[in-house]
Amino acid sequence: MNDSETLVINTQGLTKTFKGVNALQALNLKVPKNSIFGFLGPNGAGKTTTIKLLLGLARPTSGSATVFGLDVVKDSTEIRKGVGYLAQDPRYYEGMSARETLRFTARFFYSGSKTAIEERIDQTLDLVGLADKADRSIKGFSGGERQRLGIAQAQINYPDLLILDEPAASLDPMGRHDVLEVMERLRKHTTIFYSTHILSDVQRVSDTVAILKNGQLIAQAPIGALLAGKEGVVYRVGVKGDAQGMQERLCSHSWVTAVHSIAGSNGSSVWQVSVADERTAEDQLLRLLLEDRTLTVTAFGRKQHDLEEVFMSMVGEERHVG
Amino acid sequence: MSANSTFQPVSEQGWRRGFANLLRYENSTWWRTRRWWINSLIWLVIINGTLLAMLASSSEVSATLEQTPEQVLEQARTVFVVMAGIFGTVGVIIAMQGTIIDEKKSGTAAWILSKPASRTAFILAKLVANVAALFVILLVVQGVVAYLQLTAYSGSPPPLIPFVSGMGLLGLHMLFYLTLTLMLGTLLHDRGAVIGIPIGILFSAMFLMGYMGQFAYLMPWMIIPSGSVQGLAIEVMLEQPLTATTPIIATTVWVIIFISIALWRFAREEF
Repeated sequence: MNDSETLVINTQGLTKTFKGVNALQALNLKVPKNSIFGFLGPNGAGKTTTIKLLLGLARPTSGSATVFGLDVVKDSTEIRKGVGYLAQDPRYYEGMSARETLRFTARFFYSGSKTAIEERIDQTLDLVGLADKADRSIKGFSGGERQRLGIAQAQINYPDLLILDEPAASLDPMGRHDVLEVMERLRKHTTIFYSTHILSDVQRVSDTVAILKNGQLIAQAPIGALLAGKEGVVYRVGVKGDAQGMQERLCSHSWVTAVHSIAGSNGSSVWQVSVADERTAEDQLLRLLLEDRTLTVTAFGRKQHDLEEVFMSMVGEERHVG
Repeated sequence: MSANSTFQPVSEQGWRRGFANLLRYENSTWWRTRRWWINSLIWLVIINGTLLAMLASSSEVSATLEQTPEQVLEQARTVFVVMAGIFGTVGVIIAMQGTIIDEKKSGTAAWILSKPASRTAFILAKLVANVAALFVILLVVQGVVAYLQLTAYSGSPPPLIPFVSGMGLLGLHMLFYLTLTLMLGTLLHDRGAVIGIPIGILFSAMFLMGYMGQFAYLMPWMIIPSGSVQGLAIEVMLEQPLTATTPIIATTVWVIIFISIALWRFAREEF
């Protein structure tokens, strides 16, 4: 299969400069079909600029990008037929109700049977939990309600690609929960490309992640690979007793690459044991520790990175290198 | 997605994509709100109210100045054209000032353009809907009421075709300012400039036309009465020979230029 069959978004050296400032530098982004793709980065990293370039709302300074295999500059209108978009700070015509907003949006995509369109609007209002407020003017909507309406209008056309710019940024924990739930419900129908700086949300729903910093892509990988970290498989072990002897014995095994003591007090130690052979470690590490009668194992488990840790280490490294 | 197969896709292509939907919306902002009748009422009071006041006091004035009823009627038509030409045009500029700029600033333009709608359709829908609404409110409504007032005053209707042709020239005059304001909305980001430039051009005719020389012929100023200029719209209404046709041609050309620049600029706008 070629790229256009497997990738929904593909950018090649995509660059955007505003008045001499590089908002985006040679971005090479590949978003696979049917993924929930988290696009991460601190404020001002270039996330919204990327989204605007993909939607034809801004023009690239250099480089190229395709969505569904179509060029974002030449085929923008054609691309937008298959895209749903929620802006970071969504704005609609204030005089309209939620239903009228969805009707207006739907008419950019569909003509013909009014009944079918109205049914679709009702389903969408139900999906985002706005059915009871459907005919109220959106002027009085709360931030959460506007965001829900944003998701509703973004997916009224059953898009093949849903682009959400900070969909949960302005929401309280309950609102965020609802938005993530809607995203999870939609994942079986569409590819979701969303930008955020709320890392726990990404860890919860994304399967692929890209990290952007100062307009540059610093990482792109499936979330599992990213969370595994650069140091490979690491075990976290807590022991009481003659730690020194055991530490030396562990290091003598070829499948153990390093043992670092990361904490210790009153005869207790906490180690991080890095291993080269995951299977052997699974089989032998705990056994080895328990064989030593002078030691008491107080904790044992695979070290789990969280996205925040990975993100901070990457962004921090970049800052250091920069 | 498979669910889409139950719907009929929009058939508009190219620059027309989204036009029907946007036009429907733009029309609704005039005709499905109070805006149309509030505007009609305001301009009716200002334009036709002045004409009514003039006609109501005409018997005393004409007796003092020894004017014939024909002369009073002629003067009434001039007053109407001045009021509609200046205040009606101010109405056009006020109505158009935020049309583009507000949508650029609020983010609704970016929202619309994230849907399959062409930028040309976005501009043309605004142009068509506003031209239609403002012409109905400022030309048709005002023209009909003024015509009825003139008929009631003289006891017989003024010649219809010259009156309608004069109104047509007034329409061209308004169209110049309407398209100018629209164009400025695509070029600028400041409401003050968008309203100030057209108002400045409109009123500069009153004070500066005498110094403009041949340049005045390239502007719409000579269409309405100003200083010593009787105004082409009045000449047409009074069935007099036109003193110049260049301002009519030039204004038409300006309108085309303004629309072209608006379309060109908006196609390059970044959100």
